[in-house]
Amino acid sequence: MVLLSAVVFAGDYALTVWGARLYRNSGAKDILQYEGSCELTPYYQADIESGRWFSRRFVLALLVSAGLLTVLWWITVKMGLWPMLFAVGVGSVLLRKSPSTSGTYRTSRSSATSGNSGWRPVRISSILAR
Amino acid sequence: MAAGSHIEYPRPLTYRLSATDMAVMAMAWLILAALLESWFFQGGAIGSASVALAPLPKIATPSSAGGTMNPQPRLLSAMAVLLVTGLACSLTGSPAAPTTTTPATVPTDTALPPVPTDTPAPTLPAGSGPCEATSAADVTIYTRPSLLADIFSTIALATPVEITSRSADGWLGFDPGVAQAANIGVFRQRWIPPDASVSLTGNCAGVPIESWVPAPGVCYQMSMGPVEVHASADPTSAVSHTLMVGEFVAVTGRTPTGWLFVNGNDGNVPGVIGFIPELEMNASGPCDSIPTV
Repeated sequence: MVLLSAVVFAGDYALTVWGARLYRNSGAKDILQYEGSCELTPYYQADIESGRWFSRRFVLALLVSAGLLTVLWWITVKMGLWPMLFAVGVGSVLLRKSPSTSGTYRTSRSSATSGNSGWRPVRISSILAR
Repeated sequence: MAAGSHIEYPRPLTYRLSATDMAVMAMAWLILAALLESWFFQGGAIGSASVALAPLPKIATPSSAGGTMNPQPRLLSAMAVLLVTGLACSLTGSPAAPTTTTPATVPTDTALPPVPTDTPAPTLPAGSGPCEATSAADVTIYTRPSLLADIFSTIALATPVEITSRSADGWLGFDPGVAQAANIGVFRQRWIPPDASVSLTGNCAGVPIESWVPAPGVCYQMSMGPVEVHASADPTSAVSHTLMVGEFVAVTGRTPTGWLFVNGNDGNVPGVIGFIPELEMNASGPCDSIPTV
């Protein structure tokens, strides 16, 4: 579960970088403009804006997150103290990410994007919700 | 929003949309958590709500007067109340008895609605010989002494059945004489309701009253031999009690690592709470629906 959480965490970051790059390079920015950074979380804004696939800030956050989940597992499951809290913790990490990872980009042929690359960030608010 | 030939999303609007998305997702997870009684989805609701309810940065923007965010305050407030209420109900819904033998506690589904009967138990004959029941019409027989329990059969007791036990609230128990390989003790009994139209003969007043009977809708562990109850889901953890034959505990949780959480307060061994290996399971009742903890 901790490993799965780490994978989802990393996938979320990668999709965000990918989305930000698409937004900048595909011409969508000429149609839809988002004030400020593509990333809502100030902690990640510099890395997302620079399009870095590898981010020390992200790795640090990933390690902290995985570490906390491991400690939670140890306390709740291993020691048998409120075992259901581990399920709460994993659900909190995995399901909080689901809107941002599942609704990344949708192809659109609306008139607003005709003549461009054929996509637009329909759910940009979801994409950016980290 | 429009600025020249493009659509512009002011920062506050982006925050508002994001917060609303997360709030809606939190509500969805909360509904799923309630429907499925899942701690996992409860966590999803809390995680999503924590994002939706997080204080947003104050941004001075030319496109929005004031520039601060207040995303759907009514919706978010309602969601926060629901979340807290749901969590509180989940955590307090378990009648875990105070004990010093183990720190563990998990949700239990043993809270039961009242049995829909207030029919007083009939006066029992105190004749001689074994207590026997017969009936001319069909009688509904239950697997446990409760109208909420599963029905064992509905038959006319043309051939007398010997009543061998009673419950404190007037149910009459008998051994149906069918193969019950895994059932032991009181779990072998089948039960006639107190208000059933049966004729009783013999010394029914002298039939012993069971000191404990299983409740409907509860999964029980019927130990066929000594089974150690551990303080945690770990074979090296302390053993708080050893279940013997005739000691029954409710099974209210299952770990992914092959352990069962048992609670003797809902069985006939009060104070015994802990974990037993799933390999030792000899179950009675709706045990397929035990939640994973």
